[in-house]
Amino acid sequence: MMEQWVIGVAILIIWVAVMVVVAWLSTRYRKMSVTDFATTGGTLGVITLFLTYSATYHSSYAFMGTTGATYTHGVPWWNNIHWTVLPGILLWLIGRRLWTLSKKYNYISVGQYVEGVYRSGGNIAKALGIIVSLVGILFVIPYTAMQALGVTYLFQIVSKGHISFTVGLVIFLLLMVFITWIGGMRGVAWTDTVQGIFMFLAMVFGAYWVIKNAFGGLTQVYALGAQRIPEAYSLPGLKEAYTYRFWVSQWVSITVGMIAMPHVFLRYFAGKSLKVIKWAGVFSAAYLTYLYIFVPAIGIGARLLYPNYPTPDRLFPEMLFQYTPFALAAFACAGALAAALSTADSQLHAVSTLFTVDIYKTLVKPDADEKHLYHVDRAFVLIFGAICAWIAFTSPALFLNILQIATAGTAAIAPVLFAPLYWKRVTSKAALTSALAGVIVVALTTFVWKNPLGILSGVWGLIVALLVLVGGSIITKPEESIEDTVTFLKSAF
Amino acid sequence: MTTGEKIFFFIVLVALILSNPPVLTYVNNYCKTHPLTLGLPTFWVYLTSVWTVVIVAFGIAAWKLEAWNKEPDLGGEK
Repeated sequence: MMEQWVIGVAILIIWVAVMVVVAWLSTRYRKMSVTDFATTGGTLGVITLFLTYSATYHSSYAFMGTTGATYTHGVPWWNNIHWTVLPGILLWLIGRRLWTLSKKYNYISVGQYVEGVYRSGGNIAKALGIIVSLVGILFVIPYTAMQALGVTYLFQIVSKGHISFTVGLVIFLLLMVFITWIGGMRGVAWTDTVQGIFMFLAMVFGAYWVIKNAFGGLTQVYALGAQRIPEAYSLPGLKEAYTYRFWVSQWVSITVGMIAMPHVFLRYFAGKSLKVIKWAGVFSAAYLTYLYIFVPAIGIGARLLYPNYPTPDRLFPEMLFQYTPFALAAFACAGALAAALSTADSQLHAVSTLFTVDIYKTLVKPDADEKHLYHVDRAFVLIFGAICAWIAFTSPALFLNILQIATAGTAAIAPVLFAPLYWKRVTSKAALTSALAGVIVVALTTFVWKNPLGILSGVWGLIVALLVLVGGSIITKPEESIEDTVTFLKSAF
Repeated sequence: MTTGEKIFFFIVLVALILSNPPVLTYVNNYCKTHPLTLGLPTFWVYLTSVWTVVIVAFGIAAWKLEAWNKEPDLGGEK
């Protein structure tokens, strides 16, 4: 009889094969242009955009980190609901403005948009575009490495240790690079569509099955938890970490930071029409929220069963294997693979596109044509894939911590990205100062003076960036390009 | 901004107020003495209910609001 670990690995391999085939099929519609590689030229429909936005937004943190966070803190983890509903709404409210500008000016990357909208600033606008891109790249790469770590755990668990950390990491990274390299945004979006459906089913049904088999049902696990660990049911939670300041600063930092992340930002440009953006926003808000419907029960249940578990992020897969049939557990773990891969390939795609369009084209070869940039973009996919591999070998922290650090960095540049969509008085000089000040403050409050007054670094960076942007804009001369942009958007909506 | 849009933004604003301090402080105190409601964590039920209203309102607004059906005129500078 075939050993269980062989069956588990076989299921994962089948899943990988499906992803490779879907990515390959997407190449039928491929055009040899960087615009197509970066955003599909704005051709995605509702289902594809909604699922690539949602699957990209939710990562290995969704499958493994959330159980770890609920295990560690209890139900207060559900602060998460702020950054599951609001991104869908913001995809519509902010995304429609960015989509409209991208259609009008052919923007395909973050830095290009920034340089374009602040164009009256001349070289300052150019510098600003490069800085914003670099900040996005620098903060996204560790987050991409986080996805690799999530999947590597799974290979170890499913194979019962037969697949080493190194081999699991290599398999994941090769798949991530292949999908991105062969299909660009279209390949990533198509595989995200399949993965988005699969991860939802795996997470919801897998979690329910575990709860039912381990405790008899939802109400049973919650009743037992209320008796034994009542502090898990209210703020500040089990570790007393969820103070009110932490509560507010966490959701503000992650919500703002996530919608400013390059891999999320590029999706604002990818929809076929405004109607597509609108319905993708509605469905994303629902999907992202109800994906977690049984997570609190899993976290509470895990706390009751394994009160001193050293690596809480591994608990959900462990429970799947303990309380559900082996094949089902392995199948659900493929859902976790989907969660991690759908974010990682999107991030790799975004990082390589930003570097190609915003750095390479701007500084190295301004006259490069679409085909040349397409090949350069694919080359950078390989280079950044290798960099992610190197970072992934560093000691893993809890997924939530990496998410917070990554989003803190992008939260600091959010005012520079979004203010020109609404406020005529923003200027390039103020924006450049704001971006630099915000990132410096995030670095200081992350590594030197950690989270002063119990407020997360992302919020400090956001506050300073906002103040500098508003103050600086008021004392500097208004710029024509911003005025034109806001006037145009006002007439458009 | 149309009346429909104002209503939608008001609902989002109310949800933000309800799910943050100081309102959350009172809710949290209640959760300490009543951790469960209908067998589920009171804190979870409260937040999920508040934001489900927002999701439903978003869907209705997307379906009904004329102002959200407008496609922009992209003519002019290219």
